[in-house]
Amino acid sequence: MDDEPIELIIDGIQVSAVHDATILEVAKQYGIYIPTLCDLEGLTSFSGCRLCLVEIRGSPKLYPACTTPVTSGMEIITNSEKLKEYRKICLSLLLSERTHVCSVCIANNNCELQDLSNKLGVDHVSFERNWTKHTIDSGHDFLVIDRNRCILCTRCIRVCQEIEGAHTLDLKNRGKDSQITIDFDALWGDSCSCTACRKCAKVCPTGAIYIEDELISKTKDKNVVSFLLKRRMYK
Amino acid sequence: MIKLTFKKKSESFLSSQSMVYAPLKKPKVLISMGLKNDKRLLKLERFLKKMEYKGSALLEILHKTQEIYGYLNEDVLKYVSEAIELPLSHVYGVATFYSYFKLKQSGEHVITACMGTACYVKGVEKIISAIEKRFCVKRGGSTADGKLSLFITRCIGACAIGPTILIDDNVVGNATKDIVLERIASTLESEKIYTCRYSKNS
Amino acid sequence: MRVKKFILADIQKIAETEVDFQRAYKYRINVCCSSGCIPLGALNLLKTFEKLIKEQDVAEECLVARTGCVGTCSAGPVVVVESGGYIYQNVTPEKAKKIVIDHIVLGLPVKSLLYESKVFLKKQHRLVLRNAGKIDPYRIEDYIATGGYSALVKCLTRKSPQEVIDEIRISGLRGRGGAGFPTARKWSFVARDHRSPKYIIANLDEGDPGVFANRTLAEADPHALIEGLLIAGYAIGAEKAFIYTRAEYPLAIDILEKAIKKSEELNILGKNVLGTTLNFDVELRLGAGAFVAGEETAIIASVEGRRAMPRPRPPYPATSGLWGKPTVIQNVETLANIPLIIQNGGTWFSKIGTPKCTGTKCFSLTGKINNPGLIEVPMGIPLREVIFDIGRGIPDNRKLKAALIGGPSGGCLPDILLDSSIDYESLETVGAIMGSGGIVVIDDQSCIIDTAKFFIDFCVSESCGKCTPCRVGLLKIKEILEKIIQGNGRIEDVELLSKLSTFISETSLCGLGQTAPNPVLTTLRYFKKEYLEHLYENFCTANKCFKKKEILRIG
Repeated sequence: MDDEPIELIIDGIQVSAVHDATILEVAKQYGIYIPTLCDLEGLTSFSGCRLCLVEIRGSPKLYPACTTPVTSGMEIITNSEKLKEYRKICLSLLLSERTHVCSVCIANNNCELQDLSNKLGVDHVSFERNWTKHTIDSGHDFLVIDRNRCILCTRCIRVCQEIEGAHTLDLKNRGKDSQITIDFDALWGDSCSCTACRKCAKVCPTGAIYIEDELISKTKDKNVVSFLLKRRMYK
Repeated sequence: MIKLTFKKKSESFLSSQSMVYAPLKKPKVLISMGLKNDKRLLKLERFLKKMEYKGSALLEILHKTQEIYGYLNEDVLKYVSEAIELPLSHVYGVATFYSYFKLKQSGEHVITACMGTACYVKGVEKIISAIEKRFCVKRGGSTADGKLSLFITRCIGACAIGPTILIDDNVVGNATKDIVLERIASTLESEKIYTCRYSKNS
Repeated sequence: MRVKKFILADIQKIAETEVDFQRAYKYRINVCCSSGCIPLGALNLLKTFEKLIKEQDVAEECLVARTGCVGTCSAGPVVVVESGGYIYQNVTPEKAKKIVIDHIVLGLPVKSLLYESKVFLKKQHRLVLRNAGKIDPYRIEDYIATGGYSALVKCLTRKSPQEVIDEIRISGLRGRGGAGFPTARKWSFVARDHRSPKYIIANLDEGDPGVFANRTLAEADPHALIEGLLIAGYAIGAEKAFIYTRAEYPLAIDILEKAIKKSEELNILGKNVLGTTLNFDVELRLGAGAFVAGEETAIIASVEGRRAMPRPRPPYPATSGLWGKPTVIQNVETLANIPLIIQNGGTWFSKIGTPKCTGTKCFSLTGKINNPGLIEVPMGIPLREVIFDIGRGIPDNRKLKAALIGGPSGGCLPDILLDSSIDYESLETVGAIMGSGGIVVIDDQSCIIDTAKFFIDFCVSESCGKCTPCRVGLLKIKEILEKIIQGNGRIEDVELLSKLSTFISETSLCGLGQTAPNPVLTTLRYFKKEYLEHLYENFCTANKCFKKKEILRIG
């Protein structure tokens, strides 16, 4: 029974999926675009950015595509006017949360936040922007973290914990004061657990974590996680 | 404006080498720090044993640490993290998430003002600002000499007798500005020192 | 020497001995020693009474007991003299002497010190709080004497787990934590699951400012909670329960700890409960000041020792909860109802309240009200009766501006809506929620925008920071409200506020974010005039806002 494929409809297209697949996975398979920011293939889902919310016909609620499993007969709408509007608000909120100025950002033209804003048509931010003064830690030999550009997607934390296994990074504080911490609030250079594997810089969607003196286009590599996971299976 | 921290190695007692490669069985860190004979540490160690060094008991352990030390001492937390084999960042993340845990030593006397809805409606804000002005202390902070700390808490559950202020462990119910200021002043022996220079208007 | 293991029949014996013991006394003085009365000197009073009855030589006919909350917190310290239920208010050691001499020795109640309790008690229906203020929470015998643990015995001897669930289903009991999910349905999900172990978490993390119903319950009647847990454990097949309570409740923690210990001694908890095959353990877990930890998935994270951040559902805790195991998370008030339902039957319970929302609900009544305290009313009672009859209205004959129901994420209801009845559905239609049961009354001295800002402020500082709408969106709402209060608001801000609020409530991950904009949404709905007055005329009816501007002008 569990092996039978599930039939469902996404944006009017009849699709079939395996059990336990999430809406996002199925949509990706069929080339249906759902914007995401915190999700990264191979890492556990975080469901924090709320960009991948979709509507399911018959339910007044919105569902995150990255964690909601598909069920048979589901009718999913990924691009209603309401969703488009909400995604724009969501991106504006992210842009106004911290100091995001593309022209002076190292990740300019290589930034997922910027790309998404262009793609979804966020042409201005209607909220008052916060010009944060969080610390920049360039104490490491080559890794730099600029917390002013962080959107708290926690990709770096998950990659450090799940793929590298060092668990150097984690969240500290809560709510609006949330930050990425390195060990016990140490400087990166003093970190006793960091293996300098650079994976955090590779998966960072913005210019928050980058490698000094290296072209950002060379650093960024979203596929590193799935690549490594595939390698591991070859044991 | 933005603080830039350049390559500066601070004096960390945990050398990076020992942390990464040494097998993390029994914490040895603090022995070198002269804390070996610290009675409080022994007490904590006994509690850790009782908790079977389980990571899932982290909250209980943090509670106990705060009970023993009065606040969450950085070195002790590092000790704990090594003992129960949890990453430092995780322990730090948990300790900073919950507002009950204090990472800084608080003053000799602690004033806790209840900011629950009932107390707010009944005007606790005025009392808090009066305390701030009179004793030169910011909410969440301590006076310069560390005699007095002022904290805000979300509801201590004594709403019917609000506004409520805790002076150390004594609850002042149905508090007014004058009563509270007087009680604090009498708690601190030499009151004059703490009176702000520019509080004439109050 | 081995301690005697208690078996089922012993409960009956304990009850009989205790009843005989209590019958020997003609009077019983109950001194309320809850968190509300202790700051006003209740513990001292307890000692005074004990001394006085010895002095007056009435120790043989009068019993002095320490009890939980009587409910009339504004009149503290409160003393109740049984039999007859004479409530004495604002008792001081001097008054205590008068009470002992007049009432106990001479048998004449002191009328001048009595609390006017007729309306206060008449409108109430005390089920969960049946023992509050009547029994000593530190003595398990006292609870057993009132029929405690007989429901457990009934379950263990005469009912199968399925029958217990059926009984709960007939009663129509719904979760008292706020969302109102049917308890029986939740249980049967977990009961059907054949994996083990299974867990139960009793949620005693009421972080809402202005709410103290659950704390009072635990302080007054801890064994009802334990019995509820035991029955739930029997019904769903769990062997371990956690009581997750706030660290800010030292008295409740102490009482619960002792109650658990005592139950273990009597073999009510532990291996082979009362000589049967049921094994059940209860462990107390302390929160550490995070409001969001009251959320189902966050409480799991917290019990596991992690940051209390919610995760998306599904999977629901019923399938993947604590350590991935099936878990039932239940509010303590729900649990305290369960022994009663088993004792009296589900049909009896379903007749209380409204057909859709059965039973009663505890509310902590606070704010600008004459008679604040802890009350328990049947579902469906109009809000007006609660505020003006039980709460005796607003002090100084001021006008009621709004009633906040459901804590910080509830709604501000204006005077005209006070006739709406208290049940899950009606409250939702007017934009409020049941929440964990707090009613805070605001009079016309408060500015509604300032009040909304206070709640948003609370949610901003309590947001876990996981999802964007709650973390950033609420902060933006707070900034806009601040701007309006300072007199720098723009006309389009009203539009922006309502857009942002709807966005947050629809897109947030957990209940905290989804309900956090409620105060703004309801104030925009019912008090839009005040917003416009602030924006167009720089006028605040309560004369609270724009202060900073004035100072600037003078300076």
